[in-house]
Amino acid sequence: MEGSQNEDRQCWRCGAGVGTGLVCPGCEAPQPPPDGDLFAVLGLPRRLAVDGEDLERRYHAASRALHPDRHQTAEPHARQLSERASAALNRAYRTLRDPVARGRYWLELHGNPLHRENKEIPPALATDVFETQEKLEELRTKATPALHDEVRHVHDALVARLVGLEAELSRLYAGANGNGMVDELKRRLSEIAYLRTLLGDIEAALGEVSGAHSRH
Amino acid sequence: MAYSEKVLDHYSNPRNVGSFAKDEPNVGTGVVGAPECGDVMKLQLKISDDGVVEDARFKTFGCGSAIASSSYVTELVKGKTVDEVMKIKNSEIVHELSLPPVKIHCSVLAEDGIKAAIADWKRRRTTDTKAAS
Repeated sequence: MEGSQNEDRQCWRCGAGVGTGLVCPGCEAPQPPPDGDLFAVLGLPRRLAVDGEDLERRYHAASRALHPDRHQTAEPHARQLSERASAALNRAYRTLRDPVARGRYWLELHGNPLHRENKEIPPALATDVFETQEKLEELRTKATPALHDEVRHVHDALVARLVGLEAELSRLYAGANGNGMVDELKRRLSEIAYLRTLLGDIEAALGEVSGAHSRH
Repeated sequence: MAYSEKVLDHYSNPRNVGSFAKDEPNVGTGVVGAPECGDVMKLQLKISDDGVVEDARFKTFGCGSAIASSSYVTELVKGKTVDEVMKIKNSEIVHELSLPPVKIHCSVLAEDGIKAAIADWKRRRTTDTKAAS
């Protein structure tokens, strides 16, 4: 069923088969972007594992083919389509090049978005968040050098933990892509989201503190 | 995006921030999160033996709307029975704080927080009763 509605598409101008292409291989007319699937916009199957270099190549080739300079003398319909296709292309590229955004999008495509039935935070993770946030509150009220160092240390450990989680995500993507891994995918993407938010708060707190020092 | 006046009021002046000791009798604790934005909320209710919410505390780490939603809901539940609290819908929070569509999930988080706290209170009460008998 995947992408079947896109497979037999024909060029609106010359009638050649265009598949999921954004530009007709025959007459180079821009085509309406494939419906409801950002993977198809880049001509990719709906798979979590994406080859980064291949993605770049596809994006740049399609960008060149859709470049406004190539269509400025075309009929208004073609110009309008080149803009629509470019917008879809940019959105697809931004979403699919980032493994976390790609995973979230894949879940949406499979009708099971990240937030559905997903309110519970693993207790150990919740403890990490609350303990760190308490340290940040303390840091905001009395910024001793020792506390600052301690928070800096938590920051560095968190960055390393996120790097590890993102590596795990790639390994997960390289394996199965079936419904069986949805729960695991949701668990990891959620953990990344909570840790990224925490990291943002830590950086803001450290920034505020060093900012306060530099003003004196 | 501009916050409504009520959001700003609860955000800059949050009510009932803090926590009760988790092992305090009659306290139910709900810890919930919104994985789409990484917000985390702890909401605690102190409930009398006859099932009336006497007091509430929260700690929320997230955006202004999430903090305002939790602050508002801790005010809303006080004096209500457990059954009344279970009937609270996130739409009341959306309406009261004039939350825009992109912030509706913050009100859902607050609703989930109070419900998780009540569930925890019920669970602990059953265990206590069993332990006592």
